[in-house]
Amino acid sequence: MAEQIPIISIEHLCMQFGSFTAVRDLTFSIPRGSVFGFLGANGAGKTTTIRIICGLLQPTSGDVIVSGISVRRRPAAVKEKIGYMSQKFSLYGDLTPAANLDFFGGIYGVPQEIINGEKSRLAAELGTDGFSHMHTSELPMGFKQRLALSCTLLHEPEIIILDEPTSGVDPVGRRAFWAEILALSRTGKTILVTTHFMDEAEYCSSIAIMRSGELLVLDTPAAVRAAYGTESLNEAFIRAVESKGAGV
Amino acid sequence: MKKFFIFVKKEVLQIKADRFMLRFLLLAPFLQLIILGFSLNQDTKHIRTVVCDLDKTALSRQFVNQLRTTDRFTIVGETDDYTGLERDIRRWNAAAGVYIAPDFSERLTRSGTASLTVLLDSVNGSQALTAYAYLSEITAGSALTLVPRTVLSSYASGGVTVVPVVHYWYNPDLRNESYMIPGVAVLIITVTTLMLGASSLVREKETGTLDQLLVMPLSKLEIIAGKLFPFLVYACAELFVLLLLAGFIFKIHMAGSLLLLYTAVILYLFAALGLGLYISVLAGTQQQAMFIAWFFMIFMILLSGFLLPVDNMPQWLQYVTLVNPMRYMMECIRAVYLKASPLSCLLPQLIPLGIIGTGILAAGTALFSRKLR
Amino acid sequence: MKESGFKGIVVNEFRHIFRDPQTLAILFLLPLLQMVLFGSALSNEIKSVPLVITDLDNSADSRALSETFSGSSFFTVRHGGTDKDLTGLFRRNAVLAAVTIPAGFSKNLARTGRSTVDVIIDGSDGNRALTVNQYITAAVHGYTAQRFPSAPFPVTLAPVYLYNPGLESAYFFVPGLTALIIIMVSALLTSLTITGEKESGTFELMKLSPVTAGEIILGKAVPYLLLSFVIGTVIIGCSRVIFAVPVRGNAVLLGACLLVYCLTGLSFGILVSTLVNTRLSAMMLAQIGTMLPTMFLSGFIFQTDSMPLPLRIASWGVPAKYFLTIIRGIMLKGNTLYELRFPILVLTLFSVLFLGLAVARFRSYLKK
Repeated sequence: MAEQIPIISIEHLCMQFGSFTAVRDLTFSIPRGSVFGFLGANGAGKTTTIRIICGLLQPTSGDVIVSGISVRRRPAAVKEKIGYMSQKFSLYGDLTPAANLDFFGGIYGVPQEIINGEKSRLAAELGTDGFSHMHTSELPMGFKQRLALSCTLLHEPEIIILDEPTSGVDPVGRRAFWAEILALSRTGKTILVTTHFMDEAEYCSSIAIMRSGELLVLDTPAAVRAAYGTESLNEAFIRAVESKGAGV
Repeated sequence: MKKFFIFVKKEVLQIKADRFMLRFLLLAPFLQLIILGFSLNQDTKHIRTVVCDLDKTALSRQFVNQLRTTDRFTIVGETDDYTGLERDIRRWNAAAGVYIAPDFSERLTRSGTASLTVLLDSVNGSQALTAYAYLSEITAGSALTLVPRTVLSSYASGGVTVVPVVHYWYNPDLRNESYMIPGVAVLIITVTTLMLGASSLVREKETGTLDQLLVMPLSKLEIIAGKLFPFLVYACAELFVLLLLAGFIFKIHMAGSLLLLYTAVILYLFAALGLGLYISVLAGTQQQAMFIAWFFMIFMILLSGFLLPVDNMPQWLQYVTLVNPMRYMMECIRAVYLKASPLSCLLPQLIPLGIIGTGILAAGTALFSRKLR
Repeated sequence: MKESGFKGIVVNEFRHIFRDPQTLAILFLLPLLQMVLFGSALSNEIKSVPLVITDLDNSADSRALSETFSGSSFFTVRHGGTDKDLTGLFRRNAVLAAVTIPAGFSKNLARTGRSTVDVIIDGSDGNRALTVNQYITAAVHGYTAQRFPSAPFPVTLAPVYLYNPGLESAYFFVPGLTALIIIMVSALLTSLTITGEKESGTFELMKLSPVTAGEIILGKAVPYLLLSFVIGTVIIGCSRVIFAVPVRGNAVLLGACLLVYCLTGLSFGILVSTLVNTRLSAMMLAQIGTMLPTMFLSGFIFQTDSMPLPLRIASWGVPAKYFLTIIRGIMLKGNTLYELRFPILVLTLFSVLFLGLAVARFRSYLKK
């Protein structure tokens, strides 16, 4: 059972862009070693919250404590602890996979032997000759996803943030991906995921549903289903987001 | 520092991967140098002229011959009346017309003076003046050989002449290339740094990798420096090659100090790259970045003194050029190339360049940081 | 959008144009701004030559010569010292020329009727140096004519400056700028819109509709033809009002030729859009194809007659070259249609050529 010490504490977080409030007085915490799911409609504030956690955005007020470090005061230090994989994979399409790994590893200060090890692992596993010669943009989607994940994990971050990591991937690929995620979580890493696929949300140890910048529900998937009296998480989610007041 | 070099390595790999860009970077400067270098050499020659000789004496024919033998003018036709001259010029068949009245030689021998009327197409006023100057030269020269001795001697004894003895400093042969080609080199490196520098940063924004970079333990300064540094190095190398080529092809050579030149160049590149950075923050797509960069470039070029001297511009416009880094760079490279000017003479250019360069770069960096908070 | 065929395309394009008032404003304001700025910036006339005079003779004669320069508005005179000063002055671009009146100037004139004056001119900018030489020589001649009147030189030239007696730079540069700006704008207009459609995918939809390649191309050309024609007229109007460049010939003829020229630019833009797939490349290609040749090879500033043969041949392929003859001819010389038949014909041929090529490429694209 994972420890209940929060690795990420969000405290009265507010984010305003001009007159628009993207995140409104958000307070909750994410336990170490959990697989945490962030759900919500587009524009609910999940991406903004994640950008703040990563140190990409300075909050208007409030703070996020990541592994004991304040994002407000020391955003640079927070970045070393986090591995971030965005929806677009953010790989350099015009570089080879090897060059991508060299770059990401190099910036994080990962020793070359480890980078090389990862290179051989990927090359062997996927059997591509073109590993060192092809442009990343020319490779199949599934491989790109694996590569992106490798780049994210090279520096062995405590916290891994995945922003809609499986969009555009077929069900088999998604299953394989989640198998890897859960394996990672068992090694003690904390994983934050945003997704629109409710079947994936089932894998999470707890989920948070956001709406209009506010936290609607925070609980285990089973509890959320029970609270809305539905069979599937999908139904529960729709009811939560469409209801006029707070949930249960 | 290590991270900086890793970043630069990535940039270089990306540039190499783009075949079109690579070919453009390597070939375009060379082509531009050739085309611009040759087209800008504006030694006025072969001015198309029509002649109307109504005198038809040995004297007038000899005079017309003077025109024929020089390469400044090319006689393209003869007419038999004054309006014919005007007609040919109007129809763009000639740029100059010489009218010799029927009593030309008669008046010359009788009263000692006669005049020739020259019609000049003045659509291009400066060309008209140049044509007139050449014609005057030829007239003066030929008068001494053609005019009868008696007439000439009466002139010589009565008059007093003050003869200006002219020396041209720094470019004794008045070669246009020596003046224009260093300017062309500046133009070429500006295109590269401004346009490619701007689009390079925007490309990160467009592909989404900028966010990834910002999540990584890279400071904004490291990102900016990493992006711009390869172009700085490339532009310096490009300039060197261009100047070498200019030496071979156009036979122009630098009189002054290479070190001084490069001091100016680096300060100038700070300005160009800073401007590129500024543009890249404002632009959302590479297309927008290129468009804005192009727009700036046209203004920079036309207000830099590259084509026509800044001193010729109206005063209010001259004030505007004071913020144009290219103006100072033009002055510097021409001073170093032609006049071997020392540092002390170039301070009035280097100081503004330094201020503008570091200023723009700082402003660009600040805007970059602010836009991403 | 439901109207089909040629008319439908035209209407649709017009809607696109007017939907974006900001771009429309820029399309008009930017060229105007460029006209004003560059029309003012480009000038061949040297205002005043910064000159340093060193009088080593200090006689009445030499002082009079000095006065000739000081009193002339063509020169800005400072009085100088030693040789070393000269080098510094030149290097700092403080002076363009130096006149040194040698000791014994007056005596020589009295004794032999002849004396020299040393003139040093900054030769960096060769053209300017020649002009400075002319100014100085003219000033010296003025001095001798006034102070020592004598029999005039036997053969004199009486110049008649046709079409531009005031030798205004604007007469030469402003029509040139007009040609440059119009072709750039018209080529950009069409090349950007069509490739924009390619990028956004709406272009594909055309394959499904029953229009012919010809209808598409003309349908797109017509609205932009009108737009660029209006922009062109505004620019020419601006030359009249701000720079006082006259229109001595037939304004209607000018308008008609403007239309043909706009069409040339537009059709070039359409051709460009068939060759590339992204707006970025369209912009680069359109700019390279219009601005660079027009600036350097069309006679806009630099005469093509003085260029080496390969460049002269290349200049025949630049549409702006012909329009420049036309616009300068009509505005400054009052040329007639008959006198301009050759450039007008060539310009029309260019339009036909570009349009034809574009239609051919479109046809093969639609067939796929």
